[in-house]
Amino acid sequence: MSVYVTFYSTHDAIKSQRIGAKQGWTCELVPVPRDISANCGMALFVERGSPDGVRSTLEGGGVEPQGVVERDESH
Amino acid sequence: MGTPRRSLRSHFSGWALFGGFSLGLIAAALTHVGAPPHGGVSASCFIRDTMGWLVAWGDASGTAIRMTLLAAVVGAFGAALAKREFRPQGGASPWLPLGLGVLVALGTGVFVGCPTKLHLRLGGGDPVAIVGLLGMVLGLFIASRFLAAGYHPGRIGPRPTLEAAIFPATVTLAFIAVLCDSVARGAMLDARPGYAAVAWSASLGVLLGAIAQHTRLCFTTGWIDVFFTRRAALLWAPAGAVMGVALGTVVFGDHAVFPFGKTYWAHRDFLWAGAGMVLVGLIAGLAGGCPFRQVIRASQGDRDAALLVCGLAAGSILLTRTGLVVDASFVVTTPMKVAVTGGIAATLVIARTRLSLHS
Repeated sequence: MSVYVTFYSTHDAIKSQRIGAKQGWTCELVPVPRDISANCGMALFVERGSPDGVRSTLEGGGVEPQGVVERDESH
Repeated sequence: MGTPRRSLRSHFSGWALFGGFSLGLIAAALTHVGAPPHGGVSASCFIRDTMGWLVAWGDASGTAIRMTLLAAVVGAFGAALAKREFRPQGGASPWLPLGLGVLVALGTGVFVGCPTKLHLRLGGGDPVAIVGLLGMVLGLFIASRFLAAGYHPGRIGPRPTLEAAIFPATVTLAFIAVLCDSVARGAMLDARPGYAAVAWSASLGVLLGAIAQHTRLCFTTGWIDVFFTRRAALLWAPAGAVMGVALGTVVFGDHAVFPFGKTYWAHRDFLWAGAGMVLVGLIAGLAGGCPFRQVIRASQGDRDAALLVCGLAAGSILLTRTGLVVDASFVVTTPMKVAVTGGIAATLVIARTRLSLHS
């Protein structure tokens, strides 16, 4: 399963991508999918991640996700 | 560790194309029934015109409520509520979006239009818009460098519903008041030079707001996406608007799109049109969307977007009163040039002071 993470600000999205890279996640910034949020901007796409694990790691790095959504897809 | 496989699908967005194309067509239709050429829809100009009515500054170029804008807020507010997408949120610092709103009024005032109108001018055959587009993209690129370096607007999170509802609820009441007044006076179909009749601007405005909310229509976010994600999907929105207004203008036959070269209700000072849009692009990049997008975001509960719109409104009054935006004489004066240069410098200083290193 893959995970999309949405954020309140572009700053948090960029910071989360750097946290993910340090953690060794297969991840990248992508435009927020429409069916996930009414906000535009960027989301973090994490391949083969668990929602709880991704959320707690990002919160530990000082980023508060707006939403964490699990999807059965590769991007 | 690594980057996931990228698909071609991520470079196209049908919703973005639909949203942009719809806006272009609606703008052309509104021009056909009385709105200005190249200006059927504009966030900054319509806010300025409405402020002109509010404070009665007596400038003939803009002194009436722009019903299209009020209606777009109503449409977006209604769509967000209906789809349960009204999400109250905001940051810790109200002064930042307010200040950026005042500065963006300077850029749009000197260019004569926000990024929405820029694309309408582009699709309508205005060569000044090409320079404006280059300026806007340059401003967005500079903003992206600040974002990459850690530009931080402050902590943003959920806010009380009542606080986030103040802006869309107030505008909705104003919309209802204008509608009732027009019905009572039997003036629903009365147009005046430069203004579409209330019946048209209200109905098409509500439709536009709902479409813009659903499609997340924005004229600047696509460029930020390109700089950070290398995906061009949301650029189909501005491309769609250019196509929509060009097609609509040809179909309605109001003025010639080709040969490219006409400028309506604006100046032809290419350099300062571009400089104005550098300022607008810079702020749109930092604030997370063009002025039109800020109006829609404010309608779906984003308090910071509402504050930026309020700053734009206040800035429109301030700058018009002090002669620092282009008026009906369509001349970019030396004080305006100094003000735009100062505005770009001030925005860069604000961005610099809000850098926080990523840890």
